[in-house]
Amino acid sequence: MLFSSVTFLVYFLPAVICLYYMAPARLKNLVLLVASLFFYAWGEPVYIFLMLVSIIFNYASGFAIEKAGNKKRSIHFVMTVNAIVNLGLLGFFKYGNFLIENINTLLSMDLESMDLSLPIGISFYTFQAMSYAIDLSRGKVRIQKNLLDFAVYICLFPQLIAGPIVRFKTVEEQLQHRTHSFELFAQGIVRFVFGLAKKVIIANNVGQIWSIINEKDIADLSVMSVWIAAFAFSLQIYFDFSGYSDMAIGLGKMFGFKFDENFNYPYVSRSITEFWRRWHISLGTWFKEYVYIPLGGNKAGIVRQIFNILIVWSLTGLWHGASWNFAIWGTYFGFFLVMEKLIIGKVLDRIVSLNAVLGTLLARVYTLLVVGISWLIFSVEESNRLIAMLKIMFGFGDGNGVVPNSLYEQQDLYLLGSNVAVLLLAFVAASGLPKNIYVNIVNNRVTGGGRAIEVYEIVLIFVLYILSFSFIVASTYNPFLYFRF
Amino acid sequence: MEKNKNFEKQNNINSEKAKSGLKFNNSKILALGFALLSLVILLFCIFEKDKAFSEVENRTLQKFPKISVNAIVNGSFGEDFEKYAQDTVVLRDFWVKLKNTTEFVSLKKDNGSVYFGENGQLYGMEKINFPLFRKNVEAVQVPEENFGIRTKVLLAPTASLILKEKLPKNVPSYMQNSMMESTKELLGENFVDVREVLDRCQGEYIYYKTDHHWTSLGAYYAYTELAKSLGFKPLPLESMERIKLSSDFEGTNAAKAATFFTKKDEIFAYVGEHAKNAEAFDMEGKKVPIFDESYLEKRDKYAYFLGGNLPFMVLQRKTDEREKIGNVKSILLIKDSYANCLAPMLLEHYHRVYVIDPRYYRKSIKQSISDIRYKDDIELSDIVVLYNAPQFSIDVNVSAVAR
Repeated sequence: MLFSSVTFLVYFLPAVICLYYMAPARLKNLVLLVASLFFYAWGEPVYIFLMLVSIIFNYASGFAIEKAGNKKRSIHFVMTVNAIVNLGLLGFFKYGNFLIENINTLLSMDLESMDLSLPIGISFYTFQAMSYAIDLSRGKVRIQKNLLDFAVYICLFPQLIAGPIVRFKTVEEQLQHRTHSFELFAQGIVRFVFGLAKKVIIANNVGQIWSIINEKDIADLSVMSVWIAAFAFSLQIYFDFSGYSDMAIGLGKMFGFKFDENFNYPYVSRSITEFWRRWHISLGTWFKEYVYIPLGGNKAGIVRQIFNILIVWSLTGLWHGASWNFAIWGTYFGFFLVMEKLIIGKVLDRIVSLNAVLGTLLARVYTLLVVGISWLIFSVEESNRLIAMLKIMFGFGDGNGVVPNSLYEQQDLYLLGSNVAVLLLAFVAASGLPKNIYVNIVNNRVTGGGRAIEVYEIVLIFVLYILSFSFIVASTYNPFLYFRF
Repeated sequence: MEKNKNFEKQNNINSEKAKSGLKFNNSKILALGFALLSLVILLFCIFEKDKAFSEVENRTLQKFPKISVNAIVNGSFGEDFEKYAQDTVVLRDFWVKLKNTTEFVSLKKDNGSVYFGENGQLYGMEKINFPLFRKNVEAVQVPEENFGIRTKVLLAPTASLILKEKLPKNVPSYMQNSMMESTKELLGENFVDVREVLDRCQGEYIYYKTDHHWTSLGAYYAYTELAKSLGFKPLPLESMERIKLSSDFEGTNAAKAATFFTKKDEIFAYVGEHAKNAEAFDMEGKKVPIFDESYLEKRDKYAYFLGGNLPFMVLQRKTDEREKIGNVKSILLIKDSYANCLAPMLLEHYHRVYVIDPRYYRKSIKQSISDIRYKDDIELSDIVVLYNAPQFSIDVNVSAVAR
């Protein structure tokens, strides 16, 4: 089930909210669990059993870790088993066919690929489960003895299929003790509706621009169209993904949960380093805590640090999908992160110190260029097409072998002209400008867990919801980008 | 909207007021309002009877999907349920119009299936299939080869070509011109080129704003070229009776892009003397109307002409001129819906007009031509293939002419 669907907005969500608030406190988690299982089974009727297996296994791991106590060898053993099973399941279902393809290519064999589809959300819930086990073994959280509460943590429907990756210690207390209030619920609504509008009004529409260009033959692509495609996809994935996170956080609030932020206006970043502190924060945090730091992080010398960065980022890339372009995408960022640590970072600092305004602008342009090109690598899986597009982008396109790719086509101007409103809206929204204005005007807001809603916010939310709803009802283009994650 | 952690830590006098149980604070209003709105929509969706057909969108709506273990397991139930939920949501027409209007107002030039032109002129987003087009051009030359009957081909341009001034800027051009040119090259004088006459009259109401067809006036101008090509003097417009059929016609393009600002079209018919006194029969010999008034009450008012697209029809003058002169002829029209408002005009020059729509006609057209020619008492003197250009390039049934 998708959040941006009539099924969810009209039928599922109202029913769950109703049941949840009618239920007595001790049954609230049960309502959430049943609703989440129903939500997952709706879109993934077969693989729900896989998720249940994962839940039970990791729940049991908790006891094993507890029992191992302080004995280092026992803990190592339990954690190894835990990692093998979790990553094994993830690896099998997600990377199984990828592995087979590569074996076939490398060893010239002809193994049959498995008839398996990717279980939705497996990357997210597996990582959440592992965060529980690892944090427990490090003594950062207490064991969760209640199977029901543990299950709620793993499969809570707001973040089940598209994140954020919620670490156990974020919600440890909240599973048993969370407060509900009109203020929190209202904040949840606001957040949810903004996320919905981002996805349905902005992301879907700029995504269509990308989709139209993506259908064209390589020979028909103009230089401009490749740039437009990169730009459009950059906007689509940001508004889609951050919109989904907004909806997840908003839904969490509606049920009394407070999750951490997952996106923080990544496109205003002045370096790739900064970008990855603002983009998909929960994933970056997960890899830092559970892979980068255990590998030594930056505590074992510069050479080892470079190695660690490259490993972690290749894995980060590969996490996004079982295909080499994703691994390349990740390594591409790893490379820039290393370069920034070594030299680019210092260069940027120097330029900014010479002229703050120009320097910041330059830094942002550099970041957007690097990121924009990365999205091309991310979105075009076929390597021939990707290489051709990269060549065309910089003026080296081969065209159809006779005539090189044109600089621009009429259709490019049409796409820009026709979509000028949504592109402008996307640009402004991504810049964080509205939020800055809002915070500065209303920065003396109520504190203490509550935040007063202004009347104009109510009107705005209502209008956004109505518009978003109409776009969902009337549109035929509503892609789900995370089916590879 | 991400929270700024700083102002959470600020202490503020207002927090006291808010916590001291202000009866109707805005959070309550939003929370309860949202809950109430959701509940109302839910109840309406559950209890309102499901519509089977959408007038505004001109299509059948998804029914509640069958529940079966198989459908649930392979996910098709979920997909179909979402389609059902979308199609039966309360006030669906309002939502559809709101979305299209929002796009229109935000200066978007298309909604995915229709271009928004100037002055309410809508254009369908047409596809052209060149390989199929070439195949079809070859196929329509076959009847003349087989039977020696003069075969004219009239490719009607759509509004996208003739009214291109009102198209949004930079709309990729449609190659209709090159289609016409290459057909002209191949068929020579057997190609009836109506571009010039329509171009000259583009200021007149020759295409519907909300429908993909030409108006009866546009069809008339094309008829003048066709008549000349067939060797007749076309009847002057003034000699035909002009009947206003409707002034609130919303056609196919409006169905794909309904907005709150959709303009309505007027439909006229131009009826000559003979057309007034003619009758028509279908394949089984049953009498059918040439002009079917019942459609004027329904949404698809264009189907007034010939009652829509029957597979086979024969229009026939009532007066029997065979007694008077031996020089009576009949004509065969192989067509798509563009010909429907033009066919009756041919009754002014032919005693019988046979009309075949290859999309629905399952018998062999070759055999039918043979039958008409040898069994009929009136000489079949001409064959005309009449399609609108984009349709001609994507229609897989045209080649049935050759079989």
